[in-house]
Amino acid sequence: MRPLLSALALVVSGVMAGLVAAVAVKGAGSLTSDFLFTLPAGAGREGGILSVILSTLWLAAGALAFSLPLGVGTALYLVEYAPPGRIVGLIRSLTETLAGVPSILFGLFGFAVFVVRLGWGPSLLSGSATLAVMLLPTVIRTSEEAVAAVPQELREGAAALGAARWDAIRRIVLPQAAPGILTGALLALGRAVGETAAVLLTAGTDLALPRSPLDPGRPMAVHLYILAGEGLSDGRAYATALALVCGVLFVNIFAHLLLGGRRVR
Amino acid sequence: MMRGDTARAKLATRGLRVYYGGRAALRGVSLAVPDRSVTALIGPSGCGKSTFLRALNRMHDLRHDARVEGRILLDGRPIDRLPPEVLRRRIGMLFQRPNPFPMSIFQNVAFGPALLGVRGKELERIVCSALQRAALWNEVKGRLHQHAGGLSGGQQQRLCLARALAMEPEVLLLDEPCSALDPGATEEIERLIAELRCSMAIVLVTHSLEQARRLADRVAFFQDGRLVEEGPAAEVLERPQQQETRRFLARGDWHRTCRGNGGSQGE
Ligand SMILES: Nc1ncnc2c1ncn2[C@@H]1O[C@H](COP(=O)(O)OP(=O)(O)OP(=O)(O)O)[C@@H](O)[C@H]1O
Ligand SMILES: [Mg+2]
Repeated sequence: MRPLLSALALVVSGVMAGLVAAVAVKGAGSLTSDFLFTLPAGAGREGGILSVILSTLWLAAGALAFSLPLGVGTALYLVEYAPPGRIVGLIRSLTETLAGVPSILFGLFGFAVFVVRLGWGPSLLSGSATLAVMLLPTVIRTSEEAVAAVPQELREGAAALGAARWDAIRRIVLPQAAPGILTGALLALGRAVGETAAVLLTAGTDLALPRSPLDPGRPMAVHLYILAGEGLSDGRAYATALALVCGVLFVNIFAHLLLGGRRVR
Repeated sequence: MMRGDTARAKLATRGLRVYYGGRAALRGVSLAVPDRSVTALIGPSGCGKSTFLRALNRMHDLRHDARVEGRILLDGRPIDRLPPEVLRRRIGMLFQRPNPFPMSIFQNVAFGPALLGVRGKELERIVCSALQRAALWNEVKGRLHQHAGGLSGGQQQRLCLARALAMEPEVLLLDEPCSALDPGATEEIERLIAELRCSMAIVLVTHSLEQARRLADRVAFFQDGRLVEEGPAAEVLERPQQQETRRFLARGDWHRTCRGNGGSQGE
């Protein structure tokens, strides 16, 4: 069995390496610092992807800014406060269902609610909010795991000294759970950076530099989709893809370093 | 038990019942704990000793499946008149396994006072004195800012004791505080308990009859969630009135002749 499985693992790694290599080979030629730091022109046929990168970063940061407090708060409620029973079960099955929903549905939801209903239009704000909803299940689940992994003895020790529940959470539970929560947040961030469908309808496709949260912006994955789909510039499409892959890779490696560093303790 | 006992007691329970998810673990316990003495709780595993102890500082509040009925009086006043946080500042607790916080030695001891807003020199003074009272000062004075996880098991338990003492508790609840320790560390903790007895009420759950003999002023024998017998240590241990106590003592003595903790019945 073992040779077969190692062969399998080899094939899988080969496919993944090939994928990255293909993107790298086709994109490396056009991926210059000029490309990264100039604004696009001619609908993306010319120029670079500066505004696209910035839109992506704003969207991801906004998504985390919304989903992290909400997600960690929910996780704390579930683990630390909620009496076991119907509400907890409901929230759990809800987040699990949400995690399995295809992201275009989040896009549709975000379009109906944030873009139209709340009148935020296609904008970074709408896009971030949509991404946040999409990321919530991940953030809740990873935070819940991290918080639940903090030994009960520590909570009891704190309580026995007269610490209120919130004191114990603030001073003991959260610091202990922080690496786990952060890892979850970074994984979520990686998804947010690479997401297409959820932001396609909500963030807009404008190539101008966004100046406020209510401005539209085009995230990298959408830019890639449009460039390739409309055959505007193959070289630029691959260069954008390569930049995107590097970004996601960087975030994930960072997440693992963080996790690895903390595990040794 | 006479009413007079209860009135003079530091801590007293009347008809204390505890249920875990509907199952009774404690079925009506009335016990008085006098000040400046060690009251040892003994009894077979699962008889409700820890359950009783944890009711005294309302630790059961932390769990959703535990329900407590009956009266608990601290200095003659019902404890539920106090906010649980205030009550737990007055009643310190030491657990079966040392549970230092994942922070420095100093921060561990400073944790309680810092919650009350104590800072600076005053905080340092409290930490130093608590560590001295827990007989840990000489071993850690050069490395107060190192992680508490680096201490030995016995040192960690003394750190937890220092942490509790920093709050100047009036009552100390000890749930088999030596069961995870080697004989040397056990001896050290026992010496400290004997010293602290002069200044506070101590309730000590122990699996070791030897330990009860060495430390206890009074002994309470629990079985099946009931208090079977209670009185001065010498009387309960040497001349038990109840058949069940006699049976347990005979068995217990035979079980563990070594000093410290037998541990065979621990969780
Ligand atoms: N959290 C809990 N949930 C449900 N049942 C519990 C819980 N804690 C204790 N019990 C049950 O309550 C009874 C009393 O337990 P307790 O821990 O008080 O016994 P103990 O005398 O301290 O035993 P030991 O000497 O083994 O520590 C036991 O039957 C135990 O199984
Ligand atoms: Mg116990």
